[in-house]
Amino acid sequence: MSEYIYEYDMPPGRYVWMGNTAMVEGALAAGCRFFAGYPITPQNEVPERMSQRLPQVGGRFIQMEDEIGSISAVVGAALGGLKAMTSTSGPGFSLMQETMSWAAAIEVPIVVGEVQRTGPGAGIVSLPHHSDIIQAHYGGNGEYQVIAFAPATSQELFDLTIEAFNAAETWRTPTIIFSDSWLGHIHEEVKVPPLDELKKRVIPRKKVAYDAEGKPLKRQQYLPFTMYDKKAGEYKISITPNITTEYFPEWLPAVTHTPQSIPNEFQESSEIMVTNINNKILANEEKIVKIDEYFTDDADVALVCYGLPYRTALRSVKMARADGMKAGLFRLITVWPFAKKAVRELSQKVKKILVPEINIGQIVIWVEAAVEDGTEVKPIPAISRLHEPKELYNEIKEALN
Amino acid sequence: MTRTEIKIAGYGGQGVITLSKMIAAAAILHQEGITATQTEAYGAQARGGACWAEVVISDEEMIDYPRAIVPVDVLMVFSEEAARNYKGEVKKDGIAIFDPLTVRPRKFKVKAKRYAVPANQIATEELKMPVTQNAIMFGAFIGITGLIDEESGRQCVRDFVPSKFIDINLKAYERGLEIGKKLKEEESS
Repeated sequence: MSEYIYEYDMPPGRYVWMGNTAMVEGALAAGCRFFAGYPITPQNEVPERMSQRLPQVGGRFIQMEDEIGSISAVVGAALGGLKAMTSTSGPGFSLMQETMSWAAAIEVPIVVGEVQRTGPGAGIVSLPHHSDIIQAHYGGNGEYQVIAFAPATSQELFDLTIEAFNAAETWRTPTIIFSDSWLGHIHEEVKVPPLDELKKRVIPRKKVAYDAEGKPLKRQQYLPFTMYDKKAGEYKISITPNITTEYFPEWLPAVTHTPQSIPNEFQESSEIMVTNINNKILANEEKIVKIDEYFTDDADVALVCYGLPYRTALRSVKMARADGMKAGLFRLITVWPFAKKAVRELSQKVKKILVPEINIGQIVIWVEAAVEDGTEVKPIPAISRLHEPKELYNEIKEALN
Repeated sequence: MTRTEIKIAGYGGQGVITLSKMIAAAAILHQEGITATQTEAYGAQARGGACWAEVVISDEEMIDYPRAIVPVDVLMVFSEEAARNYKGEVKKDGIAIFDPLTVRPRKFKVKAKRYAVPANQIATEELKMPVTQNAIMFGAFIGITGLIDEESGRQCVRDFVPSKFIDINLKAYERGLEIGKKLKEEESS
């Protein structure tokens, strides 16, 4: 299975990296060997470093004419057999939506770094705002699923970018790394593990598909797209078609197609395709979703958060615990697919849920839809700024009164 | 679980960001048992605009809240505008460091202990190289706060400056260290 494991040249050890740098190094460690992008603040350090680093590891970097060109080049590179990514911010992310929808339709594993800034419009380029959480899921036309990670430290931007590439590889759907202008520019410690340890964490791009007995599949046996195996009761996701191999279909239709890559206009085909590309993710929610919980076992009130607010919330919960308050913290490491089941289980344990977000409240709607037993849910919005620990501490105190 | 909150402010081009990065790098790379998080004003500010940076040093595995929590333990100001804006944001028993050439002492009234470090004057008159004021301030910060070992600071200076200028910057660092330790001694005697 080691046909596609790249060497990564960063010596193991401790580094002081800004968030954007850590994202690049995580991508290179994951085997990303192609990047196409267009400048936009606050993500500029990502393409800048990629342009220096990719040639050093045998990869290719292109600055494209805009974000539409960038993501299209990334889809092309992925079909050419490379792990590929782009990164952007707010307005550029909007331009990429049409192609994200297309990538989801033809099940191409691509990774997009979204270093969010204040919106709407051109907004403020230097302030953090988690304003594109819903857009990431619903921005493109048609119905499809994305996988989205929300790191909160430089170390996580390294580690979770590797996870994002693994998720894209496994589930063959657009995968997003949510950062923001604050996190992208924070300077922190990043530990790079030894190469053999990293290799164990990386899911390689496969060129050859195998059957259940481990025999290489013939061209006629290979399905380019996901199919539901009724007998096994699961979705069969084959390896990504690679233009350099015999598996590559005669055409790769952006229009509705069968798992055999035959385009047609039958309602049945649409139903099968839409169901497959959505349910391969939704039915595997528990395998894809990553969460973390702190002090939730005996908590009366829990904070649900993702990205930087998790760090503020952790401090606030520690402060509250020190003062004898039964507060807990539930962290969404992946925002999409939404951890419905885990949030439902949380709501059975606690009486109140607070949702601090750096926006007017985007995930709180999903939390409200997931809770049971009449658990009270309250949004705590912060616009273009980090919450302060004292602020969340006071919210916890008020919720417990 | 101990956190030290540090805020540095002045104008862009004065070395505010560099100093904050040196403190963070010294804590992360050159000293065992502690880590740091550095954040900075990020935007259209270039040379001459108001500028600030924050560093949190901690012995925790991961620093939770990444910004310096106000009131801070250590405040360093290099302009009267910064002194005016942030004088209320330092703890009463905290440390306030300033350069008397850029902040007039009477314009900087804080309850915290004040330390005047004439880094600019030493850099220009003694070392004949104005940019070394950063290494002097870095040395003074370590001498006054004791947050980082002297040797860790030395290694950090070697790492940070171009090889041609290591000697002069190490000299500046030692001068800063000396001033910092002396100010600390005077205060306790």
